[in-house]
Amino acid sequence: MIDKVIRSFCRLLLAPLLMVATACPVYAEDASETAVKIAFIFNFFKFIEWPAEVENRGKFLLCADAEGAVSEGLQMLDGKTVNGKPLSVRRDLKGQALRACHMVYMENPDTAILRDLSVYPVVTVGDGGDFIQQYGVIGLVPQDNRLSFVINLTPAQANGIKIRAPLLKLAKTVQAVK
Amino acid sequence: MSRLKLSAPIFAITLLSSSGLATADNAAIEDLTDLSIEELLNVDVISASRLGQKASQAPSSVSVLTATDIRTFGWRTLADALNAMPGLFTTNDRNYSFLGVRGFIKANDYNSRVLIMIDGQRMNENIYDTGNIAQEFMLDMDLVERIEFIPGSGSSIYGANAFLGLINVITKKGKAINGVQLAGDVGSFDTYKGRVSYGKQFGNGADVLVSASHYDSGGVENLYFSAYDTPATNNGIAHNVDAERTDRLLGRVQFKEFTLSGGFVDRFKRVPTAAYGQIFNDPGNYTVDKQVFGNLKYEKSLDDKTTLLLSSFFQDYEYHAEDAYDFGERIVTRDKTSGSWWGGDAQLTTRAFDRHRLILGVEYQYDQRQFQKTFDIDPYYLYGQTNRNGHRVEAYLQDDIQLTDELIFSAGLRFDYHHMIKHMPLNPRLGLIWNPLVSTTFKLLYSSTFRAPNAAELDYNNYYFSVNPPLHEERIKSYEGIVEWRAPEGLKLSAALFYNDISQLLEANEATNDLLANSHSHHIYGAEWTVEKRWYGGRLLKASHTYSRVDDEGDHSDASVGLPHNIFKLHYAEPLFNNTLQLGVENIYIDQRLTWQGGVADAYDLVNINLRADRIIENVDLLFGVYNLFDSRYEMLGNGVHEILPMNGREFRLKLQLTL
Repeated sequence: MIDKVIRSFCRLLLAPLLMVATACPVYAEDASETAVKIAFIFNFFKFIEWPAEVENRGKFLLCADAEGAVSEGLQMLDGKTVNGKPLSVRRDLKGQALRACHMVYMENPDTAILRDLSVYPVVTVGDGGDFIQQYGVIGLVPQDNRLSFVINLTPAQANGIKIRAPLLKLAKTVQAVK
Repeated sequence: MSRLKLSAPIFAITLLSSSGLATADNAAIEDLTDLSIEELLNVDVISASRLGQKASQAPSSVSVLTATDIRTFGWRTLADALNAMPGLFTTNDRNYSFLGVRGFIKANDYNSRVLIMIDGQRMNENIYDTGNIAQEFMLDMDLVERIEFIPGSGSSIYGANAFLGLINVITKKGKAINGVQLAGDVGSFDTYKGRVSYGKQFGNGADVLVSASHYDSGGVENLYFSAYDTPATNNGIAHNVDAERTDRLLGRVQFKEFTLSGGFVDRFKRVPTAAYGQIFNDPGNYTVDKQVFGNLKYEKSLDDKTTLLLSSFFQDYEYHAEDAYDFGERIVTRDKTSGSWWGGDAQLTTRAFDRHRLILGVEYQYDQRQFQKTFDIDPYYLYGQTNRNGHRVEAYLQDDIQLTDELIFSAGLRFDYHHMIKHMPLNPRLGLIWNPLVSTTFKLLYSSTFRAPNAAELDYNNYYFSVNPPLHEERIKSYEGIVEWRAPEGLKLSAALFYNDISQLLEANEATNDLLANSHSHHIYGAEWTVEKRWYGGRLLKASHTYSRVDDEGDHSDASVGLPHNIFKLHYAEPLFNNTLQLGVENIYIDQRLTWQGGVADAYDLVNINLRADRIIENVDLLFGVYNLFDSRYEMLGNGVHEILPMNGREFRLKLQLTL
């Protein structure tokens, strides 16, 4: 309760003072890898447009393929709003059921599942640069002590997914891998 | 007898015993979703082995430096990085580097009063308790992910040697290297360094890091020492006797709950100072320090509230040195010291009880060998030879109790059995942490601890004076009050008041007839403030000021020798040319210091600048540094015949790194 009061206090008073618009205590110069990955995944939604029939659903469906640290952590995104729509997190979907998701975080990338998803408007996110060599769309890659990401445009474009320029600009590399 | 060095015994390196620092704590994941992608790209990712809790809730004040800081400011050694920490300062005698901590420094103590750890494993060795920090330190700085410093006697779980503070150096994961990395440095005074590393995280989660590096410096070609300014001793010029070489190896494999790691360092240094009557300008004066460790760690989350950490280790340390003396003919005296020790520890961290975070653990170390020998090589003459062995057992308990949403009470107790002291000390630790606002934390901390006389100290009197008075442990009680304020957008302010009550300090001086004895009490008090502001995109401004004073209850007052009353540090980093270059400017001001002889070493202001260009072309990182930009002839306190030692002037370094 007190946290909330402080947060709004920060927002109201301190933020204008310092000419910033973000909430008060979120600044981080370091954080756990899991936290950074989850925040990246959340942010990706802001820069991606799905084809109209998928985009027009009432909420964004974010899925995970297995139970792991990141997948479990994704639960905290459940109910958050992004681009005016609520996020719904599903960790119990497997195989073909993943086709209905907007975005899937692959804790254990499986080439067969990735190939299957690569013909649906699903943005797959996984770890490492190799991820996008096997039909994945966004790979989270370590860069020194920080985290960056690489993008494979081929499956996205083939399925009518638009990745906006700011995200492409910030990616470490953008490729078109068949 | 006059040929024996009157210095306190020389140093060493060493050992392990992992303690509570490296505890994973799967507490709630931070919510960073308010950060933008650009901001996320600038967040340093840290592994689990940090303090196990948010710094603002830790029952201590923690300073942290990251790999990014190390590259931005071009720190070449751990000593360089520690010199940037609030409250710490380093000196060197052209062989070893020594740490001063908040109003306390004892030259020649080889940092035995500071606990130095790598990934939670103690590195102070078992003969001189040395905590090495410069080129003689185990790790290549390129392999460091984070450096954590906690001042004060954080005794309850951190254990022996954490008398003035503790430093935990966390190594990078293989995936931070992500491939094969080659790095080469060229620097002033014919200094070269090369490193080859391989790091990778495999699909099955296994993380591997292996690295080898070699450092070679010709040193300063001609060093002038006024104490030897006579025609018979080359007019005080020591010519080509400042060389230093270090080889390092490190390997680590992490898979599931297991981490196996090992490291090796071998450092050679010619000693140009002839501080204790050695033949001046003789290339035969040198020291060698070697240390090796192996460690197997098992870390398991028993459930979502409880973590178990088990580890076992061994370490080996070897020091040898030669000193040439003129006794009518040139006689070379050799010190030969070796230590080995092994042990293990177990630690349980649990939140199973509502509103409690409980840490309990035991550590065991067997000192298998603590061997010292000094002799003339030819004709052979043995001055002394000793060996020891024995057990150390430590048990500790700490409970952080969440009294209310805003108030945490932390209580800890540590019990020690140590074969080098006669009784079994019990030391408490108390802390009160109050978070009245999300942004503001108040901490009140009290702790006490001890430092047992080390093997070199125990044998010192017998060695040099053939008497054997009992020696007791040194004691410290440390009090600290801290205010921290974390404002929006990366602004942090903190202020601390500290008081350290040190008694039974082991010293050899006139008052003790040059015998080593538990003589003095020191009362150290002071204040410290820091300001830090980080901007998104990499700009950073950090300033700190530490003021300290010391009262000495002994009649021979040397407590303030070597101590600067004021330390001021400023760090500024600025991204240039759309972030292709990062400029780092470091300014370290150290106040004047009293010398042993009653004189004064002048205050100095040291300015270092560094430029780093990450990925200047694909896979290539560049670093260019100028150290001591204004070519200041700054002074450190000397030892033996030297009242003051002038340090090096301006130095350059260029470093190139290739990642494949």
